[in-house]
Amino acid sequence: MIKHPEFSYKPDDSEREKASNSYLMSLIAIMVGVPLPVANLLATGIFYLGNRKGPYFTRWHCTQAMLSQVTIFVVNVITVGWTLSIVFGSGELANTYIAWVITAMLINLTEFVMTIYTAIVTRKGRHVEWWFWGPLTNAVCKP
Amino acid sequence: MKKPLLQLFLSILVIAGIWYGLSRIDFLGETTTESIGRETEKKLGELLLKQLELQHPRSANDSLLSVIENIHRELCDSNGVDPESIDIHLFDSSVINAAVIPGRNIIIFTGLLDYTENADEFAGVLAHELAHITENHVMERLQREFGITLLMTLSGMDAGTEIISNVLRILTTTAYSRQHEREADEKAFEYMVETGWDPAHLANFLLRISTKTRDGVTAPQWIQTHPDPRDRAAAIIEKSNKLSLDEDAFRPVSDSDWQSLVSQ
Repeated sequence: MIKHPEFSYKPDDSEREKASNSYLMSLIAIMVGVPLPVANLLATGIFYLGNRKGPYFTRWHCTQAMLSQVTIFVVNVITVGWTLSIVFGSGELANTYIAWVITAMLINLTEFVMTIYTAIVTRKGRHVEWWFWGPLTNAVCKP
Repeated sequence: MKKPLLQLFLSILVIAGIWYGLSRIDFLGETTTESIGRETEKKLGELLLKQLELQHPRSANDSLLSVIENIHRELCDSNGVDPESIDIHLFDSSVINAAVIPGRNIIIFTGLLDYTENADEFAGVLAHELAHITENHVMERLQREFGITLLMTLSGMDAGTEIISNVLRILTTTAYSRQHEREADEKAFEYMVETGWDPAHLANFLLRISTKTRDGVTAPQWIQTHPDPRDRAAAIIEKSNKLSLDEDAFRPVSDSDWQSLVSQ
């Protein structure tokens, strides 16, 4: 799930702090983000835009944090949409819905734990690449 | 770019697997109907039939019952259902309704037949009720409403008791869940098509019965206990338009014969 490859250079303290903050940003957003999935994306997106011209280490981690939030956003939008269709629309409470809610909670929980871990580790200057999002970030974020 | 795509594919596979695995868990207690046992279900059905007989006389129109049984047989034979495993009961009553009771029994009130224009429309209604049986909706619903223990106790009671009347009232005057009704409509559509009958007849019946007023009754019971008939009819017609049905398919009885049978 998580790898620690060597980064191309040793980031300075300011870069580490901003890289770590990009994860903390999505962490704060998670608290609000469960009922309002767009909050996650907005918070991380704004932080990404603020640092898109920053040093490579910071940019790289802001991108990874933002891409992960896009994925979580999709999961949470499905969950909220499905819930609203049950409460206000023609949707019906079924085993498949409950199973999805538990799955979505597991995905959110996994992402939450990974985010905390990565925020701590990047603050110490270690590079962290997540499953799927790491290679994807490498593909879209160049030095 | 290959690596992230591969990892995305694997992630989706794992998430779908977790979701599927969790959805097999019966969180809502919907799939425990087998545990009540066929014998108990049969006993409960017999009790409810006795209760019905206390309220409505059985129809003496044997010719009509024979045609209904032919339609039932044709539907069952074309869809791999054993017709002998299901009993049809026709009651003389102005109540415009048809329903399923435990023990694989379909009850039909003559009031509903008066509303049909031809045998094909009735076949649509019968296919819908048949689907409630094959999909085991009745026992799922009763178990949700009453619980297994109470149902087991009920099967040892006598007809005429208040609680038996209550079970009968629920089965004949209240709706199944929307999911069950949708499933029964979809299955009825399949049954009609497999038998070579146009499912649009069911849609026609739904549309007509939803707007028709007769004897001051604006909403027949069979409609009150089901979701909006216009939506259901629209869904059936949409699917029917894509069908090409055999014009020479078996028809149990002509429209005029049906009308004269029903009015006897």
